[in-house]
Amino acid sequence: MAKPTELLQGTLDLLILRTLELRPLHGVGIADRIEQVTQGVFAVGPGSLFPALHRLAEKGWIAGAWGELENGRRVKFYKLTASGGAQLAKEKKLWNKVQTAVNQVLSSET
Amino acid sequence: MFNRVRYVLHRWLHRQRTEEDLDNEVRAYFDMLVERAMACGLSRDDAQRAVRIQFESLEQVKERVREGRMGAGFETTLQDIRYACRALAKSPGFTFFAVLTIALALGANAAIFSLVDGVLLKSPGYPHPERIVQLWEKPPRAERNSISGANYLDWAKQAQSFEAMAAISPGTTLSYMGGGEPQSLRAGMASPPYFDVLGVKPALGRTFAKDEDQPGRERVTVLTNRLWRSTFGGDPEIIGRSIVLGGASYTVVGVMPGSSELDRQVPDLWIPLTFATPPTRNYHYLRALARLKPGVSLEQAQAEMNSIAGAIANLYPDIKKDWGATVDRHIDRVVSPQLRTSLTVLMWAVAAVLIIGCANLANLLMARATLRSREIALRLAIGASRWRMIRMLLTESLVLSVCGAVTGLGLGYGLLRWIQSLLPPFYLPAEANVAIDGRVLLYLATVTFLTSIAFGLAPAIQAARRDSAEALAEGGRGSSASRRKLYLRHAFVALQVASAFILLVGAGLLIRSFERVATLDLGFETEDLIVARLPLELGDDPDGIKLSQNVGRILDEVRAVPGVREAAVASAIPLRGWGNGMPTRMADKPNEPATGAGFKIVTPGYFHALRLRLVAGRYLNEQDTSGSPPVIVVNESFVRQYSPNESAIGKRALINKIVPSRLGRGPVTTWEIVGVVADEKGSGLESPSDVGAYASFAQNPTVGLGLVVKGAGQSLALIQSVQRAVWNVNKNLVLDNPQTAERLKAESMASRKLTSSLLGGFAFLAMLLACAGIYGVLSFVTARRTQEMGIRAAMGASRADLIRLVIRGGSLPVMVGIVGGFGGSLGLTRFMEAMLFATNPIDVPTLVGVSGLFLAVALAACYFPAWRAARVDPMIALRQD
Repeated sequence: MAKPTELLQGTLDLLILRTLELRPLHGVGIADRIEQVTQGVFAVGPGSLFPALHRLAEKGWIAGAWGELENGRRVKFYKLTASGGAQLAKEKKLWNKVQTAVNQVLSSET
Repeated sequence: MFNRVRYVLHRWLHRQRTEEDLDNEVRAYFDMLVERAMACGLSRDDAQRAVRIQFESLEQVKERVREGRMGAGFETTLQDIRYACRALAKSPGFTFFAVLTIALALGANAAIFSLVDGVLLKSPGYPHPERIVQLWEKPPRAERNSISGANYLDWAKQAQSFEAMAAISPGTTLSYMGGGEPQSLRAGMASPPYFDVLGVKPALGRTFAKDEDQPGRERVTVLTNRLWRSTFGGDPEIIGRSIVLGGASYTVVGVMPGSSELDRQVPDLWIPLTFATPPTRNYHYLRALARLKPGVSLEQAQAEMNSIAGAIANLYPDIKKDWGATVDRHIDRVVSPQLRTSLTVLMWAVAAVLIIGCANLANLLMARATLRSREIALRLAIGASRWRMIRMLLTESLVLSVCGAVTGLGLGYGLLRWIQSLLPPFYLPAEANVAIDGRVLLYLATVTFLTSIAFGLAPAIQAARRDSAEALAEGGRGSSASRRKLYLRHAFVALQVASAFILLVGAGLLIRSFERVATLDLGFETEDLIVARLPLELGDDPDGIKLSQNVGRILDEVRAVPGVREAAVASAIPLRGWGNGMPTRMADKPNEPATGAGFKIVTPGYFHALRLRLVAGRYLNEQDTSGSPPVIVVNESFVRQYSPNESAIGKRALINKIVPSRLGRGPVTTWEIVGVVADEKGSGLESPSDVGAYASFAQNPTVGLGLVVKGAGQSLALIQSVQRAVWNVNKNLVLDNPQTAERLKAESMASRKLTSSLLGGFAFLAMLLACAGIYGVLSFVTARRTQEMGIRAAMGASRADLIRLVIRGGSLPVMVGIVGGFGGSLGLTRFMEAMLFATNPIDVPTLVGVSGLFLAVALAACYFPAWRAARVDPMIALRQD
């Protein structure tokens, strides 16, 4: 198995916020979703996922609440808050800017 | 910000629920991964292992979340402190010893530092203290001399370098009738600008006006805060009130601020210094202070004073030929070199005690960390970071330090109070502001922090660096990897022994000096001797004949007191100088320059009261009167200096008389030497020279006298009777500071005694700590060698063999330390030379004694663990672990 790319600091936050924009998810759900959407480029282990989740919750951008799965297991679901939505919009814009800038640098090389 | 604090606090208060929540959340995550792996066909165990290998452990994830949280540092610190307290409570013996060590070391540091800070470091409370200078006359063969009245007035008129200049006279004692019994007050006499020179503003009223040293205006006084609060009850209406001092009425014009330099000086109050008209130029009795104008340097002031003094020397060549002036920065001369050396040495001593204590604790903590290596390895294995471990262990030493510091602060306060109670009054310079204040607390906090790092860091790093697997496998016992650690410990022991050794040598030298001072031959007997200053009333021009009659009546009354064997007056009481220092030369050697010698004016009873030993000729007696030829009695040092190898009796000395007001020199008089007495230790116990002569009061009466009374036991009660006898003559005359000569002697030894006991105490403490260090390391080493001992015993080694084995191992660092200390003390003790009295800094008996003492104590410290190790039962030792 190829080692998944290390996530840039801050990128994980963006990915989580984006993932939760669609619907509330629990920890495994978030990790699966990120891996699936990025086609395995980003694999998020619990050691980085949970600190990130708690960091975002502390900032008030996401909120966790206990819920139950179909098989009766109690898990914590996270959903995006209003301020989290605003933050996501801001970060998206920033990301696009950064991406354009970086792409320009890379293409100018050839 | 506030919200965040509230948030963190809230989470901390509900930390148990937060923790459970986190645990459930992460656990559910892992369970789901395991289930998923099982769904692929793995057994539960295999699935769990797979998940554990692929990801961090549950505890590690939780720890990462905790670390990432807001206020994590705060929480971790609290946790560490809680843990440290628990760990320390579990080993109360260790904790007690550690806290005691730190408390003693820091207590000593707090007390000595507050002295050092107050005396040497803190700048005086005066504004711009660096602009205050001392002015001196500079005689031909010396640097500094008191100033004559006429010279001072010329200086004050001519000098342009100064904002203000003030002369200060030795002061006087005035009796004050404040309703009850008369009370004697020390009056400082200074020119009106004195307070401007210092830059001290009054708390009430005003200071002296410029012309209040002129006749008719001089009856004003400025009170110190100390006197105002005590004698006058802090009366806010005091300004403008008249008080009767020494029979004259003075108006109170001002009260100086409290806790200032003025409160820490001898004078209780100040009166303007006035000058006899015309003031003399050949009697030197004034000190002078001046404040430099802004921008004027010391060198410029010195240059100006040189030219002024040069002009004076040209004008009055007969008395001022080759005399100049010296200008010194006041703050540079406030602390005597001896006091500076003493404080510096004591500061080094307490620093050494602290270092020895730290080395001890570092050793102990290392031993503790070794015993706990399993626990630490376990913590590392389940996910604690090494930094986290170091931090935990450091918190433990910080907790120890803080407990020690708090206890030490109390000890230090007590020690400082004790030191202050033993110092003679006004021993420290007035500029010294000694207190346990914010600066001392800051120092203590810094030292505490550094201490905990010093003794905690090395063991903490060492403990956290060890390989977990090795530590777990080894089970707390040392292996080859620990050998380096052992060298470090032995180095600590050697260092401790060396420092303690040097301190002991220093203390030994001081104690020997003290012994020599204490057993010094004073030249007179102090038993049953009472001394006091006798403040005769101030008169502008006291009459010699009246003065003699007055003193005669007083002495008659005192002699009539039952229990009094002899009474006399003298221009200075024993151990407090000669009263006068006069240029002296012999009539038969007219070409030799006159040199200074003590000139004590006494009534004949003085010799009998002191039991001064007669060497040749006769004492002064009642037949030596104003009408008979002038005669003097000289001491042996005088003979050695002025008439060596010849009999002095019958020779003549040329010395000026002193005018009765004691403000000028009379005519040069030819005195015939009629007797030689043994040296009286005139200027204090440690004065290097005691050249002096005694003249009869009847032939040269002056004011400014001391009373000397020889009793027959019961000296304290006698003081009361003598005072009442004096009141029979003059109701206003209060004996100033009456005390026994024994006490006077004790007082002049007090600071030396204190320094020796302090250094002795610190050295003793250092030695005990060093021995505790030796003992601790050796116990640790032997405990680890129990098995080896068991084998040796089983193979037939005798108990004595085993003891020898251990002692040989333990005494090596001790020997290295003693040799190092020996060399170090040879190099270092010469810095103490200023503190020693008749003792060579390299004193063989002290060195031998200290070496012997140290060897004995160190061997004892080695012997006990050795004895314990040798007693071990081979069977038990082999089965252990």
